[in-house]
Amino acid sequence: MIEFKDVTKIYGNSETKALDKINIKIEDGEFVFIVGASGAGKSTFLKLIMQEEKPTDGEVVVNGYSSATLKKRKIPYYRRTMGIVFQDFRIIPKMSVYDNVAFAMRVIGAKEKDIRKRVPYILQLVGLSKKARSMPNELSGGEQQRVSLARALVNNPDLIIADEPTGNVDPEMSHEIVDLLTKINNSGTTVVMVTHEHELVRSFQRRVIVIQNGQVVSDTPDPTFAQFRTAKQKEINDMYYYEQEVKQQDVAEVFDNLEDIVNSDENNGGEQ
Amino acid sequence: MTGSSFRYLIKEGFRNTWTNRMMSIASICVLLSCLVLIGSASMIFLNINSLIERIEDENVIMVYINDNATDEQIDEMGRKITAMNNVSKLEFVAKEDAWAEQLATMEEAQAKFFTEVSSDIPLPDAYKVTVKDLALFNDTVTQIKALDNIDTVRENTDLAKKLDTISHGISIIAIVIIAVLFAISLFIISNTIKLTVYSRRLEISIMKSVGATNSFVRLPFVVEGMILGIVSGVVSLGVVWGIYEFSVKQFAELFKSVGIVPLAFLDYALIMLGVFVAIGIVSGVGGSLITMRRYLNKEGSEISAI
Repeated sequence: MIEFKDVTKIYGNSETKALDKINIKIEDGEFVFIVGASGAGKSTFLKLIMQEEKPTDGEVVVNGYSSATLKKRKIPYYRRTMGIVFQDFRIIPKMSVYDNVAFAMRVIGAKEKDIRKRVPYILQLVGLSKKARSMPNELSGGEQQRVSLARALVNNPDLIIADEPTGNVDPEMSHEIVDLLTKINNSGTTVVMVTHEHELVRSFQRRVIVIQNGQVVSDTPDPTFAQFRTAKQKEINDMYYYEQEVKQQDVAEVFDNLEDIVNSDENNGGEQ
Repeated sequence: MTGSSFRYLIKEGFRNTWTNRMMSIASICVLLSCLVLIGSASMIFLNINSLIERIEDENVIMVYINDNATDEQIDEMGRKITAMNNVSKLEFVAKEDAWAEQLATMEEAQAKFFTEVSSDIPLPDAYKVTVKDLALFNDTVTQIKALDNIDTVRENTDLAKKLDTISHGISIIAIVIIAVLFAISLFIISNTIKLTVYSRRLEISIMKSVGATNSFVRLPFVVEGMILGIVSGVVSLGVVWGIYEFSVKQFAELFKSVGIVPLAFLDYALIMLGVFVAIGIVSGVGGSLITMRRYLNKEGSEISAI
């Protein structure tokens, strides 16, 4: 269980509150999306869960460990109760897929015999059995993220924290990753996934917590009611600006039109 | 920590040293230069010290005895000199022996002239006194001069004093050089390990994220530091040996002309190997620990930002 009790976080001497009196309770076995724009406080939220930062005020309780009483030297043991998936995969380039996953077990002092049993099982679970001997540079973005997920899972954690796990993969693979997380969640592991992809959140019927300016603005079990929109709209002044809400259909239409224009130009050129 | 993870960490230390071999070679080179300098300074110091010791041994007080002294008086004088604290050796030089020795150094005609002129021996009996501590040389001379039946006392206080000062100066300079070089090695090793740590911060952040303890993160770097230290120590010994033997050969004539007999390197090789490996391990492990302590308390404590 994760519980934020009146948690406020202020970094250094700054006056800005990264998190402001947050109260959240996530029960064991839940799947929660944490949604928010950049700088909303999502990363601070995760840092507090990982005990990388201490709250300025209030208390964070995770898997029975309280931020108020947890000693620094106990933090490694606390972290063994969770698995962390990063947006940038964090795979060691010079290690094979197998060794990357086994690394997480070796680090906590697992026996080689157990590693040899557990790693192939986890690789099978994430669909990477055939890639065990591959090196990370031979894998696609989606496969690399699955390695990262396998590493997070291998120590059988109670909680999976996924920090924008779909940020560096294509939309199709994003769905696969979340599907995989759902499968893990179905086996009883709590999943907390941070994302800013509203479309993805909408397509999975899970609890959504929206954080804005350090505060929880919406917490609903149904994404239909989640308040994704910020009060202040983004200004569209960048020609490369890509709005999430643009439907794939609309994009396809634009390309169709472009093709028509190009073709007609070529035809005109041919006649001359 | 279980036995298997300990074995894993030791293996990791070796693997890391090999994987980052360019960095390892750089560290070894730095430590090697320092150790070679320390070794060369030590060999120079040892040789000068041995030279001084030899000169000190030769630095004697010649006590010439009055011709009128009886055998009993001469014996009594010998006993009194031996009883002095600073006297390490006493040798009686009979005038007959001294004269024979003197004649032997002369050319034949000259010797013949002296023996034909008079059958009397122009030299007095003497005691050859070797002192223990040059610093107390003057006191010993004064004590001897106070004895009865002394004809003259021949000594070289100035040389004694100079040698003592040189010996002291060399010890101080050698200690300072060695201390400075050791500090430099420690600093450079810790910086090299810092580079290695930074090049592996991804691994460290992953270790921290999956719950590795600080000692687990630290150990491979300590093993790496130890390997670098041992390799540097052993290689340095070979280099110092090579340089020493080369110099001895190159300057053989010069040494001979000033009466220096170079020490045999092998007599000191084992001690030097021990010292070098110890310095290597202390700098390697010390450097790793200093760097890791700083890193793990600052950047290394963060896992989400690397």
